[in-house]
Amino acid sequence: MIKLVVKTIICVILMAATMALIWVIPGTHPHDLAALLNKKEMLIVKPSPRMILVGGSSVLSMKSELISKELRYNVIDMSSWGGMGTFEILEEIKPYLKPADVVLVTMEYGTILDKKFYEYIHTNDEAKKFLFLMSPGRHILDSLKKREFFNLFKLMHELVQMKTKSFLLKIVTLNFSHLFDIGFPGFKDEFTVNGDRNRPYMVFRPLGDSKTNFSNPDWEKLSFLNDFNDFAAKRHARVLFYFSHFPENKYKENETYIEAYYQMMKKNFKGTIINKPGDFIYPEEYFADTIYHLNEKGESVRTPEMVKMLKKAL
Amino acid sequence: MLFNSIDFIIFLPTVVLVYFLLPYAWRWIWLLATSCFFFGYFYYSSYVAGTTPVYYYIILVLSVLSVILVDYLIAILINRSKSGSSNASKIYLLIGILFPLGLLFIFKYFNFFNQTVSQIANFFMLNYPTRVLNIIVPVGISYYTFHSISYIIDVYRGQKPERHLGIFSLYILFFPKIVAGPIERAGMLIPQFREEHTFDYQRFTDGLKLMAWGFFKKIVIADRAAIIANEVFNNPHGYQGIYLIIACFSFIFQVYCDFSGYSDIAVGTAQLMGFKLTDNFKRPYLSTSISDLWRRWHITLIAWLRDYIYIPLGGKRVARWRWQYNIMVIFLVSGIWHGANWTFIIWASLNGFYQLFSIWTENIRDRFNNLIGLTKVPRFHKALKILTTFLLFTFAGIFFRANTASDGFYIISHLHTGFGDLFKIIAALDYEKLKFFLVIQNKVTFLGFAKPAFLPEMATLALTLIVWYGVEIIQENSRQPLRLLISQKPWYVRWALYYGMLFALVFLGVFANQQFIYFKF
Repeated sequence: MIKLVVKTIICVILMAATMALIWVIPGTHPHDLAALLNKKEMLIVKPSPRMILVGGSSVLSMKSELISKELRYNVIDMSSWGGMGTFEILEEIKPYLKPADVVLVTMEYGTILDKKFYEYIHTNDEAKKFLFLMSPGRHILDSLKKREFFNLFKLMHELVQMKTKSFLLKIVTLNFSHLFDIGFPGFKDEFTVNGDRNRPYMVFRPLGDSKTNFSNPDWEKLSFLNDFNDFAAKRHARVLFYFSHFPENKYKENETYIEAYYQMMKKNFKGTIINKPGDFIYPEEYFADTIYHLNEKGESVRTPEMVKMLKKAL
Repeated sequence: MLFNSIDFIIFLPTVVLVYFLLPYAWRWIWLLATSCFFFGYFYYSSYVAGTTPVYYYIILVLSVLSVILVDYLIAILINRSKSGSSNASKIYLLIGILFPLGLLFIFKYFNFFNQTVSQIANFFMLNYPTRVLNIIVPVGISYYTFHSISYIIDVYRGQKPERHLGIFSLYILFFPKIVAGPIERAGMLIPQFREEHTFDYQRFTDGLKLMAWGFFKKIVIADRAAIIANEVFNNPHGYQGIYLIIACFSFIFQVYCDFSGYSDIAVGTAQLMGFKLTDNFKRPYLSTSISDLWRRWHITLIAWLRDYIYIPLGGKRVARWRWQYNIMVIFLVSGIWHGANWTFIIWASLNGFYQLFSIWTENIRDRFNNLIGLTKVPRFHKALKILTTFLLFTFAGIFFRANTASDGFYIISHLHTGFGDLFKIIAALDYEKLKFFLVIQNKVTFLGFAKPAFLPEMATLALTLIVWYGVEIIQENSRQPLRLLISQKPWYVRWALYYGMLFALVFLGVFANQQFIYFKF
């Protein structure tokens, strides 16, 4: 019996050591949100002055090279799909914020006005994993303080599993030159040097996410923007906010709630709002697969308009 | 309680530890209590207050208890009546068989039967209102029904009945095999409950290794392949030929690894405490014919059908047509046993047809093989036979997995679709287009996986399938379990292999608590 117990302990130690080793060595995680790690790298590396884009997947198609060229900022597109945890992304940015940085934030209408969507974003386990991965130390301490030992183990185990499978694929395909890349596998193929998508969203009809069920906004859900604005001000950085694009028909359907959102922001937000909701309202032909994603045509209109607004605001 | 759950990881060591600490006389009580807990835990963990009336559960418990009590008493009555009137023992036998079968019919087949009658009535423009019985089907009902029937028949045939109600209850409810077998004969299992098992390190670790191999098949291979199979079979109209084919192969690997994985875990679990359960599989995907496959697949069910249906029907010792009829009956019963759905009946009929077809064509095939010289290259011939058998079984498996018979026919009729474009793209070596072709439009997942995860998951599945197949081939050639071969190797080889196994389980396992396929039967 003692022999059995000893061997069991050895096995547990071996597995724990393997898990720690895989956690420590660099590797990619085959998940869209792993791109956040690559974007965080940009945040560390790119020199000031920077324009940091924060928002959902509506931002990902931005042609930020144009912003960079016209405004002479180094752009870092920190956006990710679904507007996952804007609060968390801003928290990640904080330690790396430098004087003269500009943080350009948007919160897509669905993420604020659609209760179900809001709920989805804030309970999404996939997002939690990658937000955890951006600052593991901080999150581990948080979990330990909250005594969430099992959840902590589960999350770390799932991340290690992802990394293991990624290693396995690279070994099987003899892709040793990228064995120790980090973040999203093939980040350089899928994203630009600024972190935008390399390819436009594909066009599909009918548009996805069109079953919007909006209601009046709640400032409580956005008050963190003011906290971040205060923090940025102390660092001599600026926070700009803009209302995202939306299809014409959907805008008309939900004008009351969108207007309420605008009024609420005007009344409460301490930073600069650079546009009105009506400024980025486009016909359906400008959209790709969902009401939040512009196609190539839409994007080639939106980005220049954004540049103009930014020039005015800066 | 699922074997692949955290609950089981806590449950099993507790059961085993207490089992060995308890005095011998108390052990059966402990095993019975924990088996009841194991059985009841399925319902406890899935119970949501307000959704299902409590009396549903009471009916369910009463049905299981009644099977135990009725068959316990009937067996004693059969034994007593044997010395007196033989007609009485036949009546008791009939009651002993019909009672559990009746319950099985009510719980599992009543709605299917009713719907079928209703459809026939509708066809003939007759009015037959369909009534649906809202009940919970007891987990493992097909298994414990077959356990109890075999027990009654064995007693009728002369085996001594079990007089200890507790031990008999344990025979029906023994937790490693209650939900999905193996279907054990009373004569084999009941005496083991009376044996005093001491802790045996070799036997214990051997059981652990068998369990680990079972878990490997279940959580590393079956649950991964299941993601693809579920995605496509639940929406076959959304997919073209290549995807349908991938899903068919995924399912055929899933179903074997899932069920044989379960059986290994069950046998291994029992072995930890000193019990020997029957192996349910013997590398069926290395079979050289359909009849060979059915001797290696779900061995305890096939043996049951052979002993209690096929042989009483006359087996092979009857006229040729009658023998073939008996074969078909066995397959049809097997199909119906699997589930109340036409898909299982078609699946079983197809397998029965394969069997009959191979009988009809045996001479022609032998002559043809001689003619083209296949018999002169026995290894190649054998590989070809294995491949053909596997493909035939995979084809029939479409109906086993399809949600409806019409889905099954749809899949078969669309297996060849979409290849024109694929071949053109491959011929043009247009990688970008090929990538596009393989991405189903407007879906955030690809064959059930998030798109970036698809290739790593496929690489993992392919590698683990190679490992599994390699092990199967080694075992087939050596005719003994791999774990015995490994135990003869130097310590560093053994530990490297154990480490590899643990690594695969911990870092490549799918921990989604997916049910075992055979739990629903």
